[in-house]
Amino acid sequence: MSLTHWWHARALGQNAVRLEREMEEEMRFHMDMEAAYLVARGEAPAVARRRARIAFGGDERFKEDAREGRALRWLSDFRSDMVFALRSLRRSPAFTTVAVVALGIGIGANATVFALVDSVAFKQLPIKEPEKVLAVYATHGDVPLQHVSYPVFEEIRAQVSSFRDVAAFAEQSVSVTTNRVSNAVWGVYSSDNYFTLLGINAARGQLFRPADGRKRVAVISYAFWKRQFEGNPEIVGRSVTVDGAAFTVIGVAPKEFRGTRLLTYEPSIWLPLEIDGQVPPGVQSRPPAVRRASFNVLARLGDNVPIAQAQTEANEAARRISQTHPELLDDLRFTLLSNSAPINPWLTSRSRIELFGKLLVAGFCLVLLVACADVANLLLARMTVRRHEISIRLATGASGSRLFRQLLTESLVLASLGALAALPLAYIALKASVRLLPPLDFALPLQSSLDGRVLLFTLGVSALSAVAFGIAPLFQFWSGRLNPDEHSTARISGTSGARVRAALVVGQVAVSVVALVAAAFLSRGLSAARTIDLGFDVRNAIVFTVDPSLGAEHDAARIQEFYRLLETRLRAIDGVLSVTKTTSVPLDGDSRSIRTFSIDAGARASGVPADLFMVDENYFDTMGMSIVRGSSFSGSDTSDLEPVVVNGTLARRLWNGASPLGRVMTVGTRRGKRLKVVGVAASGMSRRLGDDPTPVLWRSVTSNPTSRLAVIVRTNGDTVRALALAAGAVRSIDPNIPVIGLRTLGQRVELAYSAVENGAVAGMLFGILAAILAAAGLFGTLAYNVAQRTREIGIRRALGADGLDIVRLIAGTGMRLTLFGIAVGLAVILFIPRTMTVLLYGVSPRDPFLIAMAAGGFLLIAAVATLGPALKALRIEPVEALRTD
Amino acid sequence: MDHRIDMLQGTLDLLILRVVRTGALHGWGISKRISDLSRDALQVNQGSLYPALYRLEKKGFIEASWGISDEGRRAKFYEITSSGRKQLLAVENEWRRFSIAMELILTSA
Repeated sequence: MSLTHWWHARALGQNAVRLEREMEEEMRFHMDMEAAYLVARGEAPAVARRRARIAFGGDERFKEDAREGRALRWLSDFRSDMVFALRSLRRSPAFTTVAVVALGIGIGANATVFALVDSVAFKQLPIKEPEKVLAVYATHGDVPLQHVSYPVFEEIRAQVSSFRDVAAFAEQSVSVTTNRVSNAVWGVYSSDNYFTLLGINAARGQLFRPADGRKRVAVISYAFWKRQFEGNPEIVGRSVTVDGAAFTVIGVAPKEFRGTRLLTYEPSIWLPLEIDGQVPPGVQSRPPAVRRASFNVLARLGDNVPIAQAQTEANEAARRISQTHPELLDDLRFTLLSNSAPINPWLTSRSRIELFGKLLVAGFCLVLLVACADVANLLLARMTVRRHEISIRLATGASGSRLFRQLLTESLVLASLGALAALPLAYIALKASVRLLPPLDFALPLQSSLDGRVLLFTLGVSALSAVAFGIAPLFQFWSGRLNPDEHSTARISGTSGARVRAALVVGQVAVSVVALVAAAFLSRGLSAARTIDLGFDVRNAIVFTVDPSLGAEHDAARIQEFYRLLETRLRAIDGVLSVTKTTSVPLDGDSRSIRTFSIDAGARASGVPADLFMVDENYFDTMGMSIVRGSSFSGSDTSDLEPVVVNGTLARRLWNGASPLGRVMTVGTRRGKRLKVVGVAASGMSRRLGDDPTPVLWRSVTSNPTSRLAVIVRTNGDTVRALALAAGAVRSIDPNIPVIGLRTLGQRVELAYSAVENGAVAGMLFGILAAILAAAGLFGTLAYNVAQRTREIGIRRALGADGLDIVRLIAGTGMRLTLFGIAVGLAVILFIPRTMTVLLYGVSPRDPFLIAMAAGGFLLIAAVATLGPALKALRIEPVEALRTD
Repeated sequence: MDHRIDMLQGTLDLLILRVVRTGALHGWGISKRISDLSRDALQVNQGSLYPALYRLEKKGFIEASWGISDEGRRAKFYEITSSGRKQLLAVENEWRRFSIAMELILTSA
């Protein structure tokens, strides 16, 4: 059964199928009779059959005619409309290309933004009855939302009966060792009822169940299973070493489950919070401190329990807990937040994220609307050209509604082609936007694929856009049909319509000029950024991060011993000049590791914020930073005033030009440890590139031991050898300690440029997209203009105007619109209040060179867009033009 | 074969009603009868024959029913109805008047 038959069968039921079959049988009978007749008259059978078929005039075409009197007509029309639309679009490749590109950009941009926003703001967690899951946070004193400590979690579980179940989890990085290679991954320590509360099932094996909590078991994420174990089907029962202790993998979490929190790292492994009845579980791993407020609490509401009731009960529980634990938790209250979608209340409230998401999607719908307007313009131009064809068809008996449907089909076909062009565009844009994120230690759970929801959204958007851009030509068609006078058809859109179109083009040109100026500004800023003096030497050095407490044994003395051994082994590598360690690497893109404290230096200068680095005594030499006054601290300082180094900026802020050497200050509060300035280092970059140098304070890491440190190794130029041997040096001391982020210092600092670079790339892309849309708008308007003025142009030619005059006529209109648009765009740039513009590394967005580049660039694009319609106008023959009216 | 005549609008209906007047015929039979009677001067284009048949059937001038052809195959036969006979008479008269008028003009003008 052919597709046509299937269509009819679906739509019209058995009766229609019967009629259709009878018709087919009748036709076949006729043809057989004709063939037999021809054979009887002496034709060869094959020839006879062919002639019979020719005489018949084509099976299908005939049936179309024969259906005339039947209900089948309407549906068969749809198919022929599609064929007709495709054929007619193929006949005007320029029109089709411009329309499909404009729609592809509009729809593609929407699909991309929807995919990104959907995963963050709209999508629900893939759990059972997500609307019943709440996140419980503590409100304590002035701090609105806090994690809770384990004892508080236990109190909530015991006291709030509105909750059917309550689970706790804490996140932190853990070291997972398989096949003697250690990797740092994002881990979640969860209570044994975590997965049963969420109501999810394992992709393989099983997840934690309340009874299993006493064993050393682990659940791994689907992505981690694929990445680390290559999807090995025999994963269940395998042993992995986590922070030096052996755990048995009991299952793999479902693929779509990526944790319950928003914009945190994506968990790779879940570990039990309680082992052998002990919280924390044993000595051999590093569980979160029980008394510290580091636990997320999830609660599932009982059946038919309203949130208000749970809130009342939680408030009472909070009051009782405050009474029983007054030393820790005075004025404790609980805040219940819906956790049906991933949340992270510290970033911003859920509803704000949703609103932002909606605004973003709406904003990009505006881009699509502009694209639709462009296509509507193009269609109007086509309608004007085709009004002759349409009036002939009306006169020869085609029904109005039939033609109307045909035009609508053409819009739908165009929108579908646009959607087809949009999907690869969105795919590339999504992949690119995930890559635009700075490289982090762990992955973020961001969606970068086109799933069913995105496809559905794309489909809806395309259908809506088909209506949006299809309406104008349909209106024109109706009014033209009602008035048989063809002259009026040509003028239907009238002067007000023309004015709206012109305003649209001017607006588009203005926007794209602003976008192009911004893009040029950002890329100039990028090259300016490269010339900034960082204040330290990035060449010939490598850097990596280690945390010996992730290893098998980790008391303070062992950690110190580890670093002493590591330093010796690194120095033994050929070409290594010096080794230093620091809590943070300046400009490494992960500025969260740099902590800022307020500095107090007596009554005159207090509360100055400064970035704090804990470094060893070799830091300044190894980094190539110069000490301008005094000296660096030495490793063995035992005075009760801790010696520190400040940078010039902090010295100026605190003591205003007076000598800082020997001055005393405190960090955090006045009661903090007293620090004595022994040296002043030259100011350089700390957190971000291009900041005015921020105040920086360097303390000794020897006096303030920390486990997790970045190790920087300066070489005589052979960074390749150092990179190859550094990990081995760590492993030779303890194979369970992962080496994190091993790179050259130059590569690590490169991340600081990535923000500017990504801005420049994004700005450039947006500028190009805006320019393409504006060019499509200009093209459409001019094409329409030429179509409408065919008669006028013909008369001009007949009266002796030469080609140049005609080109001038059309290009003149285009250039007027373009220049006006550029003028509006430049006015926007110039009238932006000075306070709203930023100087990017000394580059101003009002730089005349930038503006000239952007304006010139757009003029070039406009010239190309004008060329097509101008050439078309040139080809108009005087006689032909007169005949069209 | 080279002396085919283009048929005027409306003549096909008349021809169909006329050839089925004497008995039921299938589609091919109708077209064959028309070309035979006109000594091949009139060839009914099948693309117009069936739409005309369906149109006449819809108007109630002819009736269709499935039967067995002389060759023993299932075929659809068309038969004239009483309102078809009335219609035939009317159209025939009209055609004759038209034909006479044409003849007068062609011979005298």
